[in-house]
Amino acid sequence: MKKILLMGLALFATLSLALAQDRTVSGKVTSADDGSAIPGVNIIVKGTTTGAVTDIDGNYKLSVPASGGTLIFSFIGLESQEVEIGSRSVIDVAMESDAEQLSEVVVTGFGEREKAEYTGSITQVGTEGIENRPVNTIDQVLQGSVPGLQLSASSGTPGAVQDIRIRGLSSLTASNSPLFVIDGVPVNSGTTERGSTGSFSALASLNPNDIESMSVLKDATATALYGARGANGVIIITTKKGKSGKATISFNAQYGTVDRATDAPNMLSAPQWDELYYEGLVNAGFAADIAEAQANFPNDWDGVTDTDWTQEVLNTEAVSQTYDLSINGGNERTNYYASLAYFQQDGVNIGSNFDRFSGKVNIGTYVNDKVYFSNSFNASRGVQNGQLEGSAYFGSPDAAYMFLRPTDRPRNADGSVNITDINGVIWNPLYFPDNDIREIVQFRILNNSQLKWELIENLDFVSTLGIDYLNTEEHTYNNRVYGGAAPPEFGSSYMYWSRTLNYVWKNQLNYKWEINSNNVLDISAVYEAQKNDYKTIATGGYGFAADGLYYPSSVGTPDFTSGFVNDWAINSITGLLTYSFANKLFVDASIRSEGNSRFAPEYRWGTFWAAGAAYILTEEAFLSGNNVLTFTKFRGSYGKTGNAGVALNSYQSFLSYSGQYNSLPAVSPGQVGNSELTWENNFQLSLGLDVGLWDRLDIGIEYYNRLSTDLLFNVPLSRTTGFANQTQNLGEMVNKGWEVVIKGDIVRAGDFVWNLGINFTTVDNEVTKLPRDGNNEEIGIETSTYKITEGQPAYIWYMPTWAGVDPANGDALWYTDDTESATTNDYNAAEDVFQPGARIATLFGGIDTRLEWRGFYLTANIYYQTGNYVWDTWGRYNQSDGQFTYNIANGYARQFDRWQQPGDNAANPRNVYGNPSNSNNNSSRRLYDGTFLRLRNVTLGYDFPTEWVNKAKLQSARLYIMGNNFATWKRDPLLEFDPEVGGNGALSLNPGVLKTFSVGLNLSF
Amino acid sequence: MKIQKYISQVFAIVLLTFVVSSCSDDFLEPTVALDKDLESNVNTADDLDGLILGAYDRLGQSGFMGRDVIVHATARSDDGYSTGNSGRFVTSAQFNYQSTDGDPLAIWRDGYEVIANTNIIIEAGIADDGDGVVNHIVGEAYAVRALVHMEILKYYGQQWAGGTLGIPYVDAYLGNLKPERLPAAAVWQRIEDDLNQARTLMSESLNQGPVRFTTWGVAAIQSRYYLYAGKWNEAIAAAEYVINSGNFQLASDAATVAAQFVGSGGNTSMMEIAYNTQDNPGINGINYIINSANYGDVVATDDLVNLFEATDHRAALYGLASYDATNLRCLGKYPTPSWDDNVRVSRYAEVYLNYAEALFQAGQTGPALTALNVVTAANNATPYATATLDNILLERRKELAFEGFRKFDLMRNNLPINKVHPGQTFTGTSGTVGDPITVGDPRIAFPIPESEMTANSNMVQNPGY
Repeated sequence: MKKILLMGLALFATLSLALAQDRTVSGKVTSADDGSAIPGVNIIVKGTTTGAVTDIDGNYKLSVPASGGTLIFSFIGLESQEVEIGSRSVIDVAMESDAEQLSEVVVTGFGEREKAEYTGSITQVGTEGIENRPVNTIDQVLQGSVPGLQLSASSGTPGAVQDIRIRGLSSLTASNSPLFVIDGVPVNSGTTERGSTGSFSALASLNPNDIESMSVLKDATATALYGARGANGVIIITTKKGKSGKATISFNAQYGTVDRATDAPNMLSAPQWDELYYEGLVNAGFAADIAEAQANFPNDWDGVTDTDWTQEVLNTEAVSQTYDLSINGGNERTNYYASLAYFQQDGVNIGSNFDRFSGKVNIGTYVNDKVYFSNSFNASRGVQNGQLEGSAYFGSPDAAYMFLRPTDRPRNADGSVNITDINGVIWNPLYFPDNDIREIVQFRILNNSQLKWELIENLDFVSTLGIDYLNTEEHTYNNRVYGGAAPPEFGSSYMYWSRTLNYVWKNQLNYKWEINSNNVLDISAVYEAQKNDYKTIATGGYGFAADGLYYPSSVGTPDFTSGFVNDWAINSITGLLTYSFANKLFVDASIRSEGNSRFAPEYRWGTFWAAGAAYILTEEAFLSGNNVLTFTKFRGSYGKTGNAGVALNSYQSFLSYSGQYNSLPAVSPGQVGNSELTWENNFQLSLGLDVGLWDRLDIGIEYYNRLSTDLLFNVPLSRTTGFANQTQNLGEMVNKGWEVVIKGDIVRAGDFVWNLGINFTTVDNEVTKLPRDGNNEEIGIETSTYKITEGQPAYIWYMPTWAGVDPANGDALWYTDDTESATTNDYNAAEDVFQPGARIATLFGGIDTRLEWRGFYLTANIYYQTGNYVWDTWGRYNQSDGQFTYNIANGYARQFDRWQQPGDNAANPRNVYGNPSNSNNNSSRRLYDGTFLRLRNVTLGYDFPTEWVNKAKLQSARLYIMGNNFATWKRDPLLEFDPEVGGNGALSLNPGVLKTFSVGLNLSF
Repeated sequence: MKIQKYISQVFAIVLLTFVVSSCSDDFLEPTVALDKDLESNVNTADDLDGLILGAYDRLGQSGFMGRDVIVHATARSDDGYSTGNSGRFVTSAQFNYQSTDGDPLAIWRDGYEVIANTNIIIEAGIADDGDGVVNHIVGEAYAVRALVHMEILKYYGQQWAGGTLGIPYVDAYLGNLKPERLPAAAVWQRIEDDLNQARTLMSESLNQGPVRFTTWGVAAIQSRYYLYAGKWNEAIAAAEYVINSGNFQLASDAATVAAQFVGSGGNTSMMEIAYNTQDNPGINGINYIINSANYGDVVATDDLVNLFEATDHRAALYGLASYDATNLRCLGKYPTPSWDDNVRVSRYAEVYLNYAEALFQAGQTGPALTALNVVTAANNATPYATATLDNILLERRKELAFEGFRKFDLMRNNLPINKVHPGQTFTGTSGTVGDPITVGDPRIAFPIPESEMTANSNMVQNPGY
């Protein structure tokens, strides 16, 4: 790599720095409609990269060649104009609105493209969908806005990783997460923490107000440049650049409250618990009647205490706040954008919070008329104070309200936390926020330098070097008195340091060949090398001599040390070709050869390709001037991408040296390996139709069909081998469906504008082929809750079907088989059957609307999904009909509706202390319809009139109130928790999604 | 001139791309920091030593000797039961498993993982250079392989559950991806063969006990094995080999009876799994499940605790814990809260009791009584007047409670698991709560894990699952 860098430096040194002889042209750009000045219009000298942007008053000034030439004026939504310079030094221009509403620009892997001309499938979310959103990870703004993209919050802890799936599931074993690209450079997006139960997303490092746009690339053409990293889709984040003109300073502030988006489960109250307790003892035969049970087996309820632990763990003072200051400006050669931001958000539960400082500088300059250099720099420090989550950790607030008894008091009479008189195994969570530490500090630098060099006319060389440095420091401390390191441990402390250095060097040659006015070819060759280098150390132990010591150096018994490195690398060469004919026919084609370190040398290189075409019917003469059908485009693409998202080094057969025995190193077979391991292949077909009607209604319909072959599948091995599974390339899966977007201006009446957009996506996922063993039996995966089998969606829920309660005797009943013709009270006699859904939604989408009237605006964004089912993992304990209700868990309040006497039509079976009936075993009783609809965002704002604002020496001022996740509707009333449960479709005892209510102010000077 | 300059620039870029490509082979070679490939790293006695230590390390996993093998035998007997304090071992004690449950997978999984290590050693084919070191290690591997198969057979075989099927006997590393279950009788025979092979290969002079198998440790397991096989004379011979070595002794006063269960048992112990403060199963170990306020699920029945005379040194091992005024517990075994008590795979006292039982069964009631009363004497208990099977099993129960024996001592003698405490919530073989579970009840065998059924189409499930 050193050699490569030296070569790069040498190349820089050879650059010619000569400047051509120039003169200056200036002028003003106005609107042809009303004569008002238009700021931000892009002006370039045709055939060069020399350009300028109009300032706030519509004025511009730029250097042009002494010989003159042509100026091109362009602005989104306005028709571009070309103006001969001739000998003029002042050129004023009036620009007309572009009749073509779809003519927006999208950011693709190859740079910006006119959306109308692009053959791939891209959805772009602009600043209006991003700015001011109080999201702790930037990807959260995509939910409901992007057809084909499903996002679910696996945890509501601020900064946690979100699960994103684009167009269904592409893989069973390999990664299903899309690739994130920031300003052209692929970056880390997951999480690198080691010792924490929660997660901290690398995307939590970005300030939403620094983002210009997010583009979601979905089909084979769009993702072709990313080869085997792009199989799950690509999300391109473009940060704000400076605009030429007077410096603009913007200040944004927002402050709000944080609450649970959905209520916590409704648990049994103390009187209910007490009543069930004695009844359960009688029903179990421990006592003849209630009185005898009370006499012989008194519980220790004082008759007064009635604790609602869901309220005890709630942080009632949780807030969210953000402040940022940015400046942007420039002249005709140089532009800059810089910002400083602070964001702070509390979690819904006590003790959890997140804050972030971030700074950003983007600068770009024409070194001369041939060479443009730009650099984008982002640094941030995020701190997450998390909680125990993801399982029934004894100190977890989310386990506490499920498991602690309502009869136990949270605090003592003197106000101190009750840690001496808690029944059951779960600890009082109120003790930990002030006494334990669960901190993750993430420090990240993203730097991206780019050089664009016009070698000869129409031939550009672009070299980009991106560095992503992600440093994660974790510190956990368990106090000396109570909880995870209570005596005899007397406290414990662990620290983990991990850093990921990801660097990408991309060199690109672009040639534009204008054969004639109708036939234009763009040809590119791209060489890219990426390396990801991970290093980590950790240490810790237990036994502190005194309180107030928090770090491993002070422990009496160090019991943990760890340190290792790993890495992966990708090398690739890509050829791209774009052809356009008469502005109505467009073709994109690409081929890529990629080498990946995750596979054995013989299987390391693969070839991927894609081709797409688009045809704009409305460019034909016979439709010209048609006022109804204003736009029609057909497009289609097909291509092959790959998925290499398997664990590092999985192809090798290993002996592991990480064990120890009797203080000596111990060796064991660590990995069965598979030297033939290689990519998954994804073949994706995309067909789309975009229609514009009456200039105010846009309809987009797209069909996709993605066949995944050579699935990276963890083929289960007989455990007698000593291994659980072996990763093999076997099996096939199909995801297909429709994406539909309809948006339009419903009302356009003077000052009043109302537009509405609706989108939905269908996902039909099916496993079509699985490996077979020597006896020709399918090798699938079957667990006690789901199954992976041919002909069904992946991870279809598979368990006995609950048939309710026998009114005669209060027994739990299940259907014996999928005909549901007979019931049984013997759990073992009930067959596992396919339940009506899997973990992934089959239909989802969003509704967006915006109303504007005289500076006021109201926007709302709704997300909905249906077709998936969610699994209540822990309902085994909370809906146990007495098996666990009286020793380790509390029950859902609806457990109170139980069978008591013959003839009762009760929701729950007979309540029996230590109930051995299996009534709480895995069955559809704990499987819930995952349909929900959520008001993601609603904002009411006011832009102060320009004349007022100008008097205050401001450029603009805006005041708004905003609610996020303000309302949620769940179809299944029995679903006790937030319906967003993460990719595995199951309740994991994580905090739910946040609801925020904020007031904000934007000012620019 | 100008054109030439452009050409040189384009050439520079093309050259650059080639430079980068040419180093790409190295560039794509991943770092492997913690592991080495298996094919080229098993060559020497040291390599074998690392692998046998790996086998012992895995033997100590909580799914095997580190907890489950030991604790299930108590939770499924009249010695103890699960309070369900943390929800653990409840289903086990209720004899209520499903094939998809995690517990029945654990012993199967962790056991066969140990066997993978032993098979790599046995198949390595490294010649002994005359000092016996390689042979000794290979012998240890045979012994470990036998021990693990025996424990897996005891939990999954149908020998007491109304059937005849045993388990797969795995004798090659990745040799058979879909092994079939052998008849239980054939598995017993393979265990016997492996133990004999171990004795043949190992040398007394190379013994390093008790945290590794020694020739005496192997003999201790042989004396246990032959009780299951009903080969009394062989059991007697194996026990006598241990006893006559003179290297071992019974703890014989109150202090040493307590101390023998702390840390390492020294010469009271035939074979142990070594733990230390940094290398132990932690909260997933035996201590946490029987002696902790947090889990502490598995407690003792009063039926067991009341067996001890007040003067018996072992009486002090049982009682109420400071954190729990309700449940009787075995407090003296695995007492150390830093979880570093070694797992007792076999203690010398067991060898004596195996000896007594084998002598009795072989008709030598006199020597049997003598052997039995060696154990009572060491514990300051009243000696038995006669050697009967009941007396021998009673003494075994008192000596070996909470050490993984009780359920199987009942099973191999065709005795029922009685309900002696309300905390035992199993349904009897008759279908009635309160009745015993008797030999032949299919629930006595664990289900074959569902994941095994899925992965191995030659596998046969046990009846009732």
